[in-house]
Amino acid sequence: MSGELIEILQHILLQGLIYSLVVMGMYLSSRVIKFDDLTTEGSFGLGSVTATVAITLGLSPWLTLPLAMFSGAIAGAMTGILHTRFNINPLICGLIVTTALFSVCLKAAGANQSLYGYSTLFLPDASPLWILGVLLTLVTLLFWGLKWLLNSEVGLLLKALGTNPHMLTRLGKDIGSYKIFTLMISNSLIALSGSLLIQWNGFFSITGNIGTLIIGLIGLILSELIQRSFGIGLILGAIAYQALFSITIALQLDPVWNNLIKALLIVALIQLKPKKMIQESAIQRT
Amino acid sequence: MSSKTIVILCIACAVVGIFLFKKNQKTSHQGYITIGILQTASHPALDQVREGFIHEMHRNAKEPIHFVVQNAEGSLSQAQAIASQFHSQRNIQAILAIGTPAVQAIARVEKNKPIFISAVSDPESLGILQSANICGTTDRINTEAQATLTSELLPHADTITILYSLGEANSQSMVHKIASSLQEKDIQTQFVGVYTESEIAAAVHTIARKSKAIIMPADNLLAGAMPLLVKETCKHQLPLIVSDPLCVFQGALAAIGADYQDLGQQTATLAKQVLFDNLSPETVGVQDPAQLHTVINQQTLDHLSLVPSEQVLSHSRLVTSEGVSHVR
Repeated sequence: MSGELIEILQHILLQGLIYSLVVMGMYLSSRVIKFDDLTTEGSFGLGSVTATVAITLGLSPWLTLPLAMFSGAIAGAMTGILHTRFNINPLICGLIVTTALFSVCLKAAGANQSLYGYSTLFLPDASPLWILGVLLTLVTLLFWGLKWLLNSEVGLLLKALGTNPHMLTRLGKDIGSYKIFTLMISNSLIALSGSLLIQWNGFFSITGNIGTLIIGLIGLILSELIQRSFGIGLILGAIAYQALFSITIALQLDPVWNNLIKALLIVALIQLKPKKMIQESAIQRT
Repeated sequence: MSSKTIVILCIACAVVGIFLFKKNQKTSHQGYITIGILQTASHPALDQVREGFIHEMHRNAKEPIHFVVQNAEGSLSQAQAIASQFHSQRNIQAILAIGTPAVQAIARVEKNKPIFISAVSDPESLGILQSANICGTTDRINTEAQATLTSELLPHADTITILYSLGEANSQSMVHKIASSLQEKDIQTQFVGVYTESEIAAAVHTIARKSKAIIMPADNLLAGAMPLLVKETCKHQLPLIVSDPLCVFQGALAAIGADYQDLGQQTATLAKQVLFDNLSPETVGVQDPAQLHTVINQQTLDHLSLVPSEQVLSHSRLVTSEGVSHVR
């Protein structure tokens, strides 16, 4: 029994770590600069396609990481440019880019590409400890990198962009470029997450990115129960959502009810929000 | 209502739910065989495979068997989560994976317990067959038979459009085979791909202007939108040839393909060889559907004012408003 539990916990931890990158990316766009970015599913798919193509071409799996991040940055830049230079509504920009990327992904990797027989970061036979090590290192590095960025001078400007954009104009900064910059970083994280997921799964599927937005968003909201500012809560939130997933499955009910139970668990979890935090957020709003 | 009340209500709902619907869980009893079923999505064909499998496994079973049914509902991360739980649960001795993504998800984590696969169009391309613990059935369509049926039913059709959804691996791998089989019968082909259900009506409208009929591979998106597709094709007097007999019951003109219930039973027969006769999955191997059925819809036939030849009718089942009849 304990062996079973350890394996399930391990799965929750690994998948949670992979999706924590999505949560961090969405935190940057939706919380720091207050930009509702729907590019998430597109850049997640693009990241996984980039990794798939790189691996099937025989490139080193390590190279897929910077390549995926680069592809995600391009996706983010496209959304940013559409919004700032063509004055299109943020939600529509994200949808446009996601729609366009679907074709790109389909052309590049087809609807389903198996990675069996290729060497990826985690296949053919990586031990769970190795996978955990790689993921922990990556997530920690990126976490500290972002923390550093948000505390730097640029970070202060980005926060100001979310709360008081006029301040930037008064300082003589171009709001647009800062938005594009943030979206590039945010989507490069999300794309990296996509590239890690397909290497872990061992196959790419064109529908594999569906639901990423919801996983990220719920992860983000759960993380805010722990901590409202940028912090370790983002990673814990992502892991918590994967745990909800697994609890629902472990109950072994008629699968028809799984999503209903998941929804109830989320409502229950959100109610755990301590009173103090609600007051804090009320103060922040005034 | 205070937030505490809401928490208590939610937990209460969850607990009540668990007791009401907890029908699958029986922790490992001695002498039981437990099979985990991982289904890709809710879909009539995939549901039939599951039912056929369960039915056949219970028939003449030497030991009581029970099933843990899980459905990924199209989500890959859910499929992965289910796969890893099936792998880790000691009481689950074997796994049935229905549909391509489910098979891929389970094949990655499970290297020891036997995996029975079903409703996979092209297992070779997935690269999973070198694993020694996999056996089962495909739902590969016989494109030559489909082309023959098409030319017999529609002798005057010179141009036919192959309609498929761009997002599905199973369709993509089949469309070119369908095209070359049709070309052998001197029928010109065109390809039209759709991304979502909402594009189907427009696609049919375009097709109606340039070709005489539509043929489609085993395609989940289109099968799910069959009533819409039937409505649109009837409006434009376009015959619709499919590979899944279930679609004919919903109004498509004709199909030649595997019956998914039979496919589930065929998979169960293989599973019994592994579980009870101690054959290794590797020796059992992966089989194509044992039997293909030709099914024709009478109402659609009348609507299109088509009269098929005696020869076609002699080996077909006709679907009428009263039900299915074996003709002559």
